[in-house]
Amino acid sequence: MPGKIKKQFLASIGRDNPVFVQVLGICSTLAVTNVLENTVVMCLGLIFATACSSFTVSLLRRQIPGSIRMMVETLIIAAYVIIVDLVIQATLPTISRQLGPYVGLIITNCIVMGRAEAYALNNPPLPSLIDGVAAGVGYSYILMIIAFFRELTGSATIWGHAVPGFSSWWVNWSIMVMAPGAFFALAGLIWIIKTYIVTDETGGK
Amino acid sequence: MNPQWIKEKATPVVFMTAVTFVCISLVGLVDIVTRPSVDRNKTLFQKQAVCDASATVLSGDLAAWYDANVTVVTNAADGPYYLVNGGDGVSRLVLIQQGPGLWGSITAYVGFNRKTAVIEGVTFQDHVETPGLGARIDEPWFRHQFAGKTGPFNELRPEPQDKTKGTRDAGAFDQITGATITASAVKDIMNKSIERAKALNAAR
Repeated sequence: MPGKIKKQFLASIGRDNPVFVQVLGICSTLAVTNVLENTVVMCLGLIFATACSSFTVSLLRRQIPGSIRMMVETLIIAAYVIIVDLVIQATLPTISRQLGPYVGLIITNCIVMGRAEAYALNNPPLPSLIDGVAAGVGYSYILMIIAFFRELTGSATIWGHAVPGFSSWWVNWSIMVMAPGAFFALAGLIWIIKTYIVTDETGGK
Repeated sequence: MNPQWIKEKATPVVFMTAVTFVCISLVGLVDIVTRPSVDRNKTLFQKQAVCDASATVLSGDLAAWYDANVTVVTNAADGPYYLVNGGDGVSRLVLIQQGPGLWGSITAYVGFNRKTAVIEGVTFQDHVETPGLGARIDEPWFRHQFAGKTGPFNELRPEPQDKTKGTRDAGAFDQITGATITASAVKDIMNKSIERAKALNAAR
Protein backbone atom coordinates (compact mmCIF):
# COMPACT_ATOMS: atom_id res chain seq x y z
CA MET A 1 0.00 0.00 0.00
CA PRO A 2 2.64 2.62 0.92
CA GLY A 3 4.47 1.89 -2.36
CA LYS A 4 1.26 2.45 -4.27
CA ILE A 5 0.57 5.69 -2.41
CA LYS A 6 4.10 6.92 -3.06
CA LYS A 7 3.74 6.15 -6.76
CA GLN A 8 0.39 7.92 -6.88
CA PHE A 9 1.80 10.93 -5.04
CA LEU A 10 4.79 11.23 -7.35
CA ALA A 11 2.55 10.87 -10.41
CA SER A 12 0.66 14.05 -9.53
CA ILE A 13 3.93 15.89 -9.12
CA GLY A 14 5.44 14.56 -12.33
CA ARG A 15 3.83 12.80 -15.28
CA ASP A 16 0.19 13.44 -14.25
CA ASN A 17 0.79 16.96 -13.00
CA PRO A 18 -2.52 18.87 -13.06
CA VAL A 19 -0.99 22.06 -14.45
CA PHE A 20 1.60 21.14 -17.05
CA VAL A 21 0.26 17.74 -18.17
CA GLN A 22 -3.50 17.95 -17.64
CA VAL A 23 -3.49 21.74 -18.14
CA LEU A 24 -6.15 22.23 -15.46
CA GLY A 25 -6.57 25.14 -13.06
CA ILE A 26 -5.01 27.54 -15.55
CA CYS A 27 -7.34 30.41 -14.59
CA SER A 28 -5.90 30.73 -11.11
CA THR A 29 -2.39 29.90 -12.34
CA LEU A 30 -2.62 33.03 -14.45
CA ALA A 31 -4.47 35.17 -11.93
CA VAL A 32 -2.68 34.89 -8.61
CA THR A 33 0.92 34.31 -9.60
CA ASN A 34 2.18 37.88 -9.84
CA VAL A 35 3.00 38.10 -6.12
CA LEU A 36 4.53 35.12 -4.29
CA GLU A 37 2.84 35.70 -0.92
CA ASN A 38 -0.69 35.60 -2.38
CA THR A 39 0.22 32.50 -4.36
CA VAL A 40 1.30 30.58 -1.27
CA VAL A 41 -1.95 31.32 0.59
CA MET A 42 -3.97 30.41 -2.49
CA CYS A 43 -2.04 27.11 -2.82
CA LEU A 44 -2.59 26.18 0.84
CA GLY A 45 -6.30 26.89 0.39
CA LEU A 46 -6.42 24.74 -2.70
CA ILE A 47 -4.54 21.81 -1.09
CA PHE A 48 -6.99 21.89 1.83
CA ALA A 49 -10.04 22.12 -0.44
CA THR A 50 -8.90 19.36 -2.81
CA ALA A 51 -7.88 16.99 -0.02
CA CYS A 52 -11.01 17.46 2.10
CA SER A 53 -13.47 17.40 -0.78
CA SER A 54 -11.89 14.27 -2.31
CA PHE A 55 -12.05 12.59 1.10
CA THR A 56 -15.70 13.52 1.66
CA VAL A 57 -16.81 12.62 -1.86
CA SER A 58 -15.06 9.28 -1.46
CA LEU A 59 -16.81 8.63 1.87
CA LEU A 60 -20.18 9.23 0.21
CA ARG A 61 -19.32 7.58 -3.12
CA ARG A 62 -21.63 4.56 -2.64
CA GLN A 63 -24.56 6.76 -1.54
CA ILE A 64 -24.38 9.59 -4.09
CA PRO A 65 -27.04 8.99 -6.80
CA GLY A 66 -25.34 9.06 -10.22
CA SER A 67 -27.69 11.65 -11.68
CA ILE A 68 -26.82 14.36 -9.13
CA ARG A 69 -23.19 13.47 -8.38
CA MET A 70 -21.73 16.68 -9.84
CA MET A 71 -24.14 18.85 -7.86
CA VAL A 72 -23.19 17.04 -4.67
CA GLU A 73 -19.47 17.41 -5.45
CA THR A 74 -19.83 21.13 -6.14
CA LEU A 75 -21.76 21.60 -2.93
CA ILE A 76 -19.12 19.80 -0.86
CA ILE A 77 -16.29 21.74 -2.55
CA ALA A 78 -18.12 25.04 -2.04
CA ALA A 79 -18.61 24.32 1.66
CA TYR A 80 -14.89 23.65 2.19
CA VAL A 81 -13.82 26.68 0.17
CA ILE A 82 -16.11 29.00 2.12
CA ILE A 83 -14.64 27.56 5.33
CA VAL A 84 -11.12 28.31 4.01
CA ASP A 85 -12.23 31.85 3.11
CA LEU A 86 -13.71 32.47 6.57
CA VAL A 87 -10.62 31.12 8.33
CA ILE A 88 -8.32 33.32 6.21
CA GLN A 89 -10.54 36.34 6.94
CA ALA A 90 -10.31 35.63 10.66
CA THR A 91 -6.62 34.78 10.90
CA LEU A 92 -4.85 36.46 7.96
CA PRO A 93 -6.96 39.59 7.37
CA THR A 94 -4.33 41.45 5.34
CA ILE A 95 -3.83 38.61 2.88
CA SER A 96 -7.57 38.04 2.72
CA ARG A 97 -7.98 41.64 1.57
CA GLN A 98 -5.29 41.21 -1.07
CA LEU A 99 -6.71 37.97 -2.45
CA GLY A 100 -10.19 39.47 -2.67
CA PRO A 101 -12.47 37.22 -4.68
CA TYR A 102 -9.86 34.64 -5.69
CA VAL A 103 -10.25 32.36 -2.66
CA GLY A 104 -13.94 31.94 -3.47
CA LEU A 105 -12.97 31.07 -7.01
CA ILE A 106 -11.25 27.87 -5.81
CA ILE A 107 -14.80 26.45 -6.01
CA THR A 108 -14.61 26.62 -9.79
CA ASN A 109 -11.03 25.35 -10.00
CA CYS A 110 -11.05 22.42 -12.41
CA ILE A 111 -8.49 20.46 -10.38
CA VAL A 112 -10.75 20.13 -7.33
CA MET A 113 -13.72 18.92 -9.37
CA GLY A 114 -11.44 16.87 -11.62
CA ARG A 115 -9.96 14.86 -8.74
CA ALA A 116 -13.38 14.30 -7.18
CA GLU A 117 -14.81 13.04 -10.49
CA ALA A 118 -11.82 11.06 -11.74
CA TYR A 119 -10.50 9.55 -8.53
CA ALA A 120 -12.54 10.01 -5.37
CA LEU A 121 -15.76 8.59 -6.83
CA ASN A 122 -14.06 5.23 -7.48
CA ASN A 123 -11.58 4.89 -4.62
CA PRO A 124 -11.61 4.56 -0.82
CA PRO A 125 -11.33 7.68 1.37
CA LEU A 126 -7.68 7.50 2.44
CA PRO A 127 -6.16 7.12 -1.04
CA SER A 128 -8.56 9.86 -2.20
CA LEU A 129 -7.30 12.17 0.53
CA ILE A 130 -3.71 11.50 -0.53
CA ASP A 131 -4.63 11.97 -4.17
CA GLY A 132 -6.19 15.32 -3.28
CA VAL A 133 -3.10 16.46 -1.39
CA ALA A 134 -0.86 15.26 -4.22
CA ALA A 135 -2.87 17.10 -6.88
CA GLY A 136 -2.78 20.21 -4.69
CA VAL A 137 0.99 19.95 -4.19
CA GLY A 138 1.53 19.30 -7.90
CA TYR A 139 -0.44 22.46 -8.66
CA SER A 140 1.20 24.50 -5.91
CA TYR A 141 4.85 24.02 -6.74
CA ILE A 142 4.29 24.97 -10.39
CA LEU A 143 2.43 28.09 -9.27
CA MET A 144 5.19 29.02 -6.88
CA ILE A 145 7.87 28.65 -9.56
CA ILE A 146 5.84 30.88 -11.88
CA ALA A 147 5.12 33.40 -9.09
CA PHE A 148 8.81 33.49 -8.13
CA PHE A 149 9.89 34.44 -11.65
CA ARG A 150 6.98 36.81 -12.26
CA GLU A 151 7.52 38.73 -9.04
CA LEU A 152 11.29 38.76 -9.53
CA THR A 153 11.23 40.00 -13.12
CA GLY A 154 8.08 42.12 -12.87
CA SER A 155 8.59 43.87 -9.53
CA ALA A 156 12.25 43.00 -8.69
CA THR A 157 11.13 41.72 -5.28
CA ILE A 158 10.64 38.35 -3.59
CA TRP A 159 7.85 38.09 -1.02
CA GLY A 160 7.61 41.89 -1.18
CA HIS A 161 11.27 42.39 -0.21
CA ALA A 162 13.96 43.84 -2.43
CA VAL A 163 16.59 41.33 -3.55
CA PRO A 164 20.11 42.49 -2.57
CA GLY A 165 22.36 43.02 -5.57
CA PHE A 166 19.46 42.65 -7.99
CA SER A 167 16.65 45.13 -7.32
CA SER A 168 18.97 48.14 -7.55
CA TRP A 169 19.87 47.70 -11.23
CA TRP A 170 17.01 45.60 -12.58
CA VAL A 171 14.51 47.39 -14.82
CA ASN A 172 11.07 45.90 -14.08
CA TRP A 173 9.47 43.92 -16.89
CA SER A 174 6.01 45.32 -16.31
CA ILE A 175 4.42 42.84 -18.67
CA MET A 176 5.34 40.03 -16.26
CA VAL A 177 2.90 41.24 -13.59
CA MET A 178 0.13 41.56 -16.15
CA ALA A 179 -1.94 38.71 -17.60
CA PRO A 180 0.21 38.18 -20.76
CA GLY A 181 3.27 37.70 -18.53
CA ALA A 182 1.52 34.76 -16.90
CA PHE A 183 0.92 33.15 -20.30
CA PHE A 184 4.57 33.59 -21.26
CA ALA A 185 5.78 32.21 -17.94
CA LEU A 186 3.43 29.21 -18.00
CA ALA A 187 4.11 28.40 -21.66
CA GLY A 188 7.87 28.71 -21.10
CA LEU A 189 7.70 26.42 -18.09
CA ILE A 190 5.61 23.79 -19.91
CA TRP A 191 8.05 23.95 -22.82
CA ILE A 192 11.09 23.43 -20.58
CA ILE A 193 9.46 20.62 -18.60
CA LYS A 194 8.16 18.79 -21.67
CA THR A 195 11.49 19.11 -23.48
CA TYR A 196 13.91 18.22 -20.71
CA ILE A 197 12.10 16.56 -17.81
CA VAL A 198 8.90 14.73 -18.77
CA THR A 199 9.96 13.76 -22.29
CA ASP A 200 8.05 10.54 -22.97
CA GLU A 201 4.88 10.97 -25.06
CA THR A 202 2.96 8.45 -22.97
CA GLY A 203 4.25 9.37 -19.55
CA GLY A 204 7.27 10.22 -17.45
CA LYS A 205 10.67 8.66 -17.46
CA MET B 1 -45.29 3.65 -4.51
CA ASN B 2 -43.35 2.76 -7.62
CA PRO B 3 -39.80 1.65 -6.59
CA GLN B 4 -38.43 3.01 -9.86
CA TRP B 5 -39.86 6.44 -8.99
CA ILE B 6 -38.31 6.32 -5.52
CA LYS B 7 -34.90 5.39 -6.92
CA GLU B 8 -34.84 7.91 -9.75
CA LYS B 9 -36.73 10.89 -8.37
CA ALA B 10 -37.18 10.79 -4.60
CA THR B 11 -33.75 9.54 -3.53
CA PRO B 12 -31.73 12.25 -5.34
CA VAL B 13 -33.96 14.98 -3.90
CA VAL B 14 -33.75 13.63 -0.36
CA PHE B 15 -30.00 13.04 -0.65
CA MET B 16 -29.33 16.52 -2.03
CA THR B 17 -31.44 18.09 0.70
CA ALA B 18 -29.56 16.18 3.38
CA VAL B 19 -26.10 17.07 1.98
CA THR B 20 -27.16 20.71 1.64
CA PHE B 21 -28.35 20.77 5.24
CA VAL B 22 -25.09 19.28 6.52
CA CYS B 23 -22.91 21.62 4.43
CA ILE B 24 -24.85 24.73 5.43
CA SER B 25 -24.73 23.74 9.10
CA LEU B 26 -20.97 23.23 8.88
CA VAL B 27 -20.36 26.57 7.15
CA GLY B 28 -22.73 28.28 9.59
CA LEU B 29 -20.84 26.83 12.53
CA VAL B 30 -17.47 28.03 11.19
CA ASP B 31 -19.04 31.43 10.51
CA ILE B 32 -20.27 31.70 14.11
CA VAL B 33 -16.83 30.68 15.42
CA THR B 34 -14.87 33.09 13.19
CA ARG B 35 -17.37 35.99 13.29
CA PRO B 36 -15.91 37.72 16.39
CA SER B 37 -12.38 37.72 14.90
CA VAL B 38 -13.64 38.86 11.50
CA ASP B 39 -15.58 41.75 13.09
CA ARG B 40 -12.64 42.65 15.34
CA ASN B 41 -10.34 42.72 12.29
CA LYS B 42 -12.80 44.98 10.46
CA THR B 43 -12.94 47.48 13.35
CA LEU B 44 -9.16 47.40 13.70
CA PHE B 45 -8.72 48.04 9.97
CA GLN B 46 -11.10 51.00 10.18
CA LYS B 47 -9.28 52.49 13.19
CA GLN B 48 -5.92 51.84 11.55
CA ALA B 49 -7.21 53.59 8.40
CA VAL B 50 -8.09 56.73 10.40
CA CYS B 51 -4.70 56.57 12.12
CA ASP B 52 -2.77 56.20 8.83
CA ALA B 53 -4.82 58.81 6.97
CA SER B 54 -4.18 61.37 9.70
CA ALA B 55 -0.44 60.49 9.54
CA THR B 56 -0.40 59.76 13.24
CA VAL B 57 2.68 57.98 14.53
CA LEU B 58 1.36 55.64 17.18
CA SER B 59 3.37 55.09 20.30
CA GLY B 60 0.87 52.98 22.20
CA ASP B 61 -2.31 51.05 21.75
CA LEU B 62 -4.39 51.80 18.64
CA ALA B 63 -7.79 51.43 20.34
CA ALA B 64 -6.80 53.69 23.26
CA TRP B 65 -5.45 56.36 20.90
CA TYR B 66 -8.63 56.15 18.82
CA ASP B 67 -10.95 56.52 21.80
CA ALA B 68 -9.01 59.51 23.13
CA ASN B 69 -8.38 61.48 19.93
CA VAL B 70 -10.96 60.68 17.27
CA THR B 71 -14.44 62.20 16.93
CA VAL B 72 -16.87 60.91 14.32
CA VAL B 73 -19.10 63.56 12.73
CA THR B 74 -22.17 61.78 11.40
CA ASN B 75 -24.54 64.65 10.57
CA ALA B 76 -22.66 65.96 7.49
CA ALA B 77 -24.49 66.11 4.16
CA ASP B 78 -21.81 64.17 2.24
CA GLY B 79 -21.55 61.36 4.75
CA PRO B 80 -19.64 60.89 7.98
CA TYR B 81 -16.08 62.06 8.56
CA TYR B 82 -13.55 62.02 11.37
CA LEU B 83 -11.86 64.79 13.33
CA VAL B 84 -8.52 63.72 14.76
CA ASN B 85 -6.54 65.56 17.41
CA GLY B 86 -3.04 65.93 16.04
CA GLY B 87 -0.17 65.86 18.48
CA ASP B 88 0.90 69.34 17.29
CA GLY B 89 -2.33 71.08 18.29
CA VAL B 90 -3.68 71.17 14.72
CA SER B 91 -6.61 68.88 14.05
CA ARG B 92 -6.78 66.56 11.07
CA LEU B 93 -9.84 65.97 8.93
CA VAL B 94 -10.27 62.38 7.70
CA LEU B 95 -12.88 61.97 4.97
CA ILE B 96 -14.43 58.72 3.83
CA GLN B 97 -14.64 58.93 0.03
CA GLN B 98 -16.09 56.29 -2.27
CA GLY B 99 -15.74 55.91 -6.01
CA PRO B 100 -16.21 53.23 -8.67
CA GLY B 101 -13.14 51.01 -9.23
CA LEU B 102 -12.69 48.27 -11.81
CA TRP B 103 -14.71 45.48 -10.12
CA GLY B 104 -16.53 47.36 -7.40
CA SER B 105 -16.45 50.47 -5.33
CA ILE B 106 -13.26 51.74 -3.67
CA THR B 107 -13.52 53.32 -0.23
CA ALA B 108 -10.67 55.64 0.68
CA TYR B 109 -9.86 57.44 3.91
CA VAL B 110 -8.19 60.73 3.03
CA GLY B 111 -6.63 62.83 5.79
CA PHE B 112 -6.14 66.61 5.57
CA ASN B 113 -4.36 69.08 7.79
CA ARG B 114 -7.11 71.52 8.89
CA LYS B 115 -4.73 74.46 8.94
CA THR B 116 -2.77 74.03 5.71
CA ALA B 117 -5.25 71.85 3.73
CA VAL B 118 -2.33 69.61 2.77
CA ILE B 119 -3.04 65.88 2.36
CA GLU B 120 -1.61 64.01 5.33
CA GLY B 121 -2.24 60.44 4.25
CA VAL B 122 -4.48 58.07 2.31
CA THR B 123 -5.62 54.51 2.96
CA PHE B 124 -7.84 52.35 0.82
CA GLN B 125 -10.10 50.70 3.34
CA ASP B 126 -12.30 48.67 1.07
CA HIS B 127 -11.95 47.60 -2.55
CA VAL B 128 -12.09 44.53 -4.79
CA GLU B 129 -9.41 45.54 -7.30
CA THR B 130 -7.40 42.84 -9.09
CA PRO B 131 -4.84 41.28 -6.72
CA GLY B 132 -1.31 42.10 -7.83
CA LEU B 133 -2.51 44.88 -10.16
CA GLY B 134 -5.13 47.40 -8.99
CA ALA B 135 -4.96 46.03 -5.44
CA ARG B 136 -1.43 47.41 -5.24
CA ILE B 137 -2.98 50.78 -4.34
CA ASP B 138 -2.65 49.35 -0.81
CA GLU B 139 1.13 49.35 -1.03
CA PRO B 140 2.92 52.06 0.97
CA TRP B 141 4.80 53.59 -2.00
CA PHE B 142 1.51 54.29 -3.72
CA ARG B 143 -0.36 55.64 -0.69
CA HIS B 144 2.50 57.73 0.66
CA GLN B 145 3.05 59.68 -2.55
CA PHE B 146 -0.03 61.83 -1.87
CA ALA B 147 1.23 63.07 1.49
CA GLY B 148 2.31 66.70 1.48
CA LYS B 149 0.45 67.51 -1.75
CA THR B 150 -2.63 69.69 -2.09
CA GLY B 151 -3.89 68.49 -5.49
CA PRO B 152 -6.05 68.52 -7.48
CA PHE B 153 -4.57 65.61 -9.39
CA ASN B 154 -4.75 65.42 -13.14
CA GLU B 155 -4.65 62.86 -15.92
CA LEU B 156 -1.97 60.25 -16.05
CA ARG B 157 1.31 61.80 -17.07
CA PRO B 158 4.68 60.06 -16.98
CA GLU B 159 7.81 61.48 -15.46
CA PRO B 160 9.92 63.27 -18.10
CA GLN B 161 12.68 60.99 -19.38
CA ASP B 162 15.24 63.77 -19.25
CA LYS B 163 14.92 65.03 -15.71
CA THR B 164 16.97 68.16 -16.44
CA LYS B 165 14.29 69.46 -18.79
CA GLY B 166 11.17 70.48 -16.98
CA THR B 167 9.73 68.99 -13.84
CA ARG B 168 6.72 66.84 -13.22
CA ASP B 169 3.37 68.47 -13.12
CA ALA B 170 2.33 69.26 -9.54
CA GLY B 171 -0.85 67.25 -10.03
CA ALA B 172 0.91 64.13 -11.34
CA PHE B 173 1.19 60.92 -9.37
CA ASP B 174 2.83 57.54 -9.99
CA GLN B 175 0.55 54.95 -11.56
CA ILE B 176 0.40 51.18 -11.39
CA THR B 177 1.21 49.36 -14.63
CA GLY B 178 -1.79 47.41 -15.87
CA ALA B 179 -4.26 49.17 -13.60
CA THR B 180 -5.29 52.23 -15.57
CA ILE B 181 -8.94 52.17 -14.48
CA THR B 182 -8.01 51.81 -10.81
CA ALA B 183 -5.54 54.71 -11.05
CA SER B 184 -8.13 56.85 -12.76
CA ALA B 185 -10.67 55.98 -10.04
CA VAL B 186 -8.13 56.93 -7.37
CA LYS B 187 -7.57 60.27 -9.12
CA ASP B 188 -11.34 60.99 -9.03
CA ILE B 189 -11.62 59.92 -5.40
CA MET B 190 -8.72 62.18 -4.41
CA ASN B 191 -10.12 65.16 -6.28
CA LYS B 192 -13.60 64.71 -4.82
CA SER B 193 -12.25 64.49 -1.31
CA ILE B 194 -10.12 67.61 -1.89
CA GLU B 195 -13.27 69.50 -2.89
CA ARG B 196 -15.14 68.20 0.15
CA ALA B 197 -12.30 69.16 2.46
CA LYS B 198 -12.27 72.67 0.96
CA ALA B 199 -16.00 73.03 1.49
CA LEU B 200 -15.76 71.77 5.07
CA ASN B 201 -12.87 74.11 5.81
CA ALA B 202 -14.72 77.08 4.28
CA ALA B 203 -17.87 76.32 6.27
CA ARG B 204 -15.93 76.36 9.50
